Amino acid sequence: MSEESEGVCQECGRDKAKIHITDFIDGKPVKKHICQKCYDAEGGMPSLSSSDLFAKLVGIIAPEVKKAGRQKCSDCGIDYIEFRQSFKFGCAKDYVLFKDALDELFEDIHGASHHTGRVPEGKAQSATGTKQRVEMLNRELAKAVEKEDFERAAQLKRKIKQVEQSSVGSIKK
Amino acid sequence: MLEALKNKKLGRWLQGGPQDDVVLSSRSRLARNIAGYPFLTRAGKSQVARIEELVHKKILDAGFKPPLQYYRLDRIDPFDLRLMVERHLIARNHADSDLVRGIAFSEDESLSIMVNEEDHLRMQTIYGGMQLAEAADAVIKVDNILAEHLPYAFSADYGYLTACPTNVGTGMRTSVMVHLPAIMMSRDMDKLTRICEDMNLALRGLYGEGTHGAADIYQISNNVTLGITEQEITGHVETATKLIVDLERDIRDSLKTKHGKELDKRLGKTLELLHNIKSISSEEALNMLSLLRMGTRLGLINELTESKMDELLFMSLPAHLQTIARREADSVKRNEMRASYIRKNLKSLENKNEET
Ligand SMILES: [Zn+2]
Ligand SMILES: [Zn+2]
Repeated sequence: MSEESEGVCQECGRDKAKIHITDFIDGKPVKKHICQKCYDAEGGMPSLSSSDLFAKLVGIIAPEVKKAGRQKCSDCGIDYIEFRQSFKFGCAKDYVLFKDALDELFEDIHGASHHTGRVPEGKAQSATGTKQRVEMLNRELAKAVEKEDFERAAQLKRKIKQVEQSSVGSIKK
Repeated sequence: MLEALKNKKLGRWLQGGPQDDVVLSSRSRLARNIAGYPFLTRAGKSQVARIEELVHKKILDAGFKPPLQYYRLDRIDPFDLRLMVERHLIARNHADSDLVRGIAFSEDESLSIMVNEEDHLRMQTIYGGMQLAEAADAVIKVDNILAEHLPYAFSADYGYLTACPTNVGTGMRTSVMVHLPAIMMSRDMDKLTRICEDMNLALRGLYGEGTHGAADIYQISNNVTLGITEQEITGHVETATKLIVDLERDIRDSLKTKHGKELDKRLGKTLELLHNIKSISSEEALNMLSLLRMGTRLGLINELTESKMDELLFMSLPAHLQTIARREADSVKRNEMRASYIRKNLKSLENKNEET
C-alpha cells in the first residue's frame, strides 16, 4: 500500500521518504516525511500486508469505505482501511474524518451513534464548545424528564445554567 | 521487589464486602486521551515518552489525598509487573507492553491509574463485594479531579474519544468478579448466559483458559459504552449481578439440602487431599479452593475463616506465591511451594479452631 513519494527521509537522509505523517510536538502538529525503516524503528504501525485476509476485509468494509472515502488523516496519516484493519483510531481527528462511516459502525457495536453520558468538567471543557455542551445537557435533561427522574433533571438544569453563565463570563474577556 | 508491594496487607478489595459470598469485587474504569496528542497506536517513541511525562506530572500536581505512588513500568522488575497484574492494579496488556508507561496507585490499592496502556489514561477503582455504585462514583470523582489538569479528547457527538471504537462515549467499563461454583456444578449455564445476553453484558472466566474459568470465578462487564449514561451502565451490571447472585444462592441451597451428604463427602476428600498434597498446579489449587470456599460459605466446613479462604485462593496465583518464598521459582518448584503453603495454612487454621 505504498504511496508515491518524492524526497528523502528526514530522519536518515538516505532512503526514499515513503511515509508522510504528522508528529505532535507539545500538542502541535509537525509534518514529517520518513522512510519505512525509520518509521518502523520509531515504533509506528507495521505496513499493511497484501494477504488474502486483507483482501477479504476490504471486501467486507467496501460500503463503509465508500462513505468514509480514501483520504488519509492529515494529523496521524491513517486512512479508513487501515483503521478497520487494526480497529484502532490514530488520533481524535479520525472521528471527524470518518464520521460518515462511523455512525453506522457505532450502531453495529453500541446500538447507538450519539454520546449521552457525562461531559468533561474543569480544564477538559476547553475541548468542547459551550453550545455543544448545552445541547448535550439538554438531551440528557429530556431523557431524565422522560424517565421521570426529577432529581437528575433538577441537577441538569442547574448545570445548564452554570455552563451558560460561565460562557457569558468568557465572552466578556 | 518494590517496597510498595512488599510486606503489606493485600488490597482492600480482597478483604471482603457486601454479598461477598458470591461477589468478590466491584470495579469501574474510565478510558481517557489527552487532546492535541495522537493515540498511542500512531505515536512515535518520543511522543509516547512526552505523553507519559505530561500525564505523570499532572497526576502528581492533582494532589490526590492520600497521595498516590507512581512507578514507571518500563523501569521496574518484570516480576513486580506480574504481581501487579495478579493484584488487578494493571491490565495484562499494560504489563506486556514495551512502551514508556506508568502506574499510579493508592496505598489501599482501591484506585489505580494506568498511563499509556491502550489509551493515554485509564483510571480504575476496585472495592470488595457488591459496591458497584460506590466504585463508579469514586472513579468519576478521580476523573473530575484529573479533568481540572488535563484537556481530554472529547467530541459532542461521540463523547470521550478512545483508541478503540469499543470504548468510545463514556469510556466506562464496569465489572464484577463473581464466584459461581454452584451454577457451574449444576452444568446449567443457560440461565447465566441469558441474563448476560439480555442486558448486553460480557461474561468471561477470570483465571485459566477457555470459557470455564479456574476457581469458578467470572467477570461480568458492560459491552456498550456509547449512547448510554454512566448510571445506566452501572445499573445494568448491578441488575444482572443481583439476578446471578440469587441464582447462585438458590442452587447452593438446593445443593446443601438435596445433596448435602455428597457435598460433605467431596469437601472432606478435598480437605484431606490438600492436607497431604506434595505438589499442586495453580489451576488445580484454584478449583479445589473454590469448592472449599463454597463449603465455608454454606457453613459445611469450619476449618477456614472466610477471609483466610480468599487470601489462600489469591496467594495460590503464581507471582504471589513467589513473594511468600521471596524468590523466583520454576513451575515444578512453584507447585511444591504452593502445596506446602496450602498445607501449612490449613494446619494453622485447624490449630486455631482447636484452641478456641
Ligand atoms: Zn529513514
Ligand atoms: Zn488521525
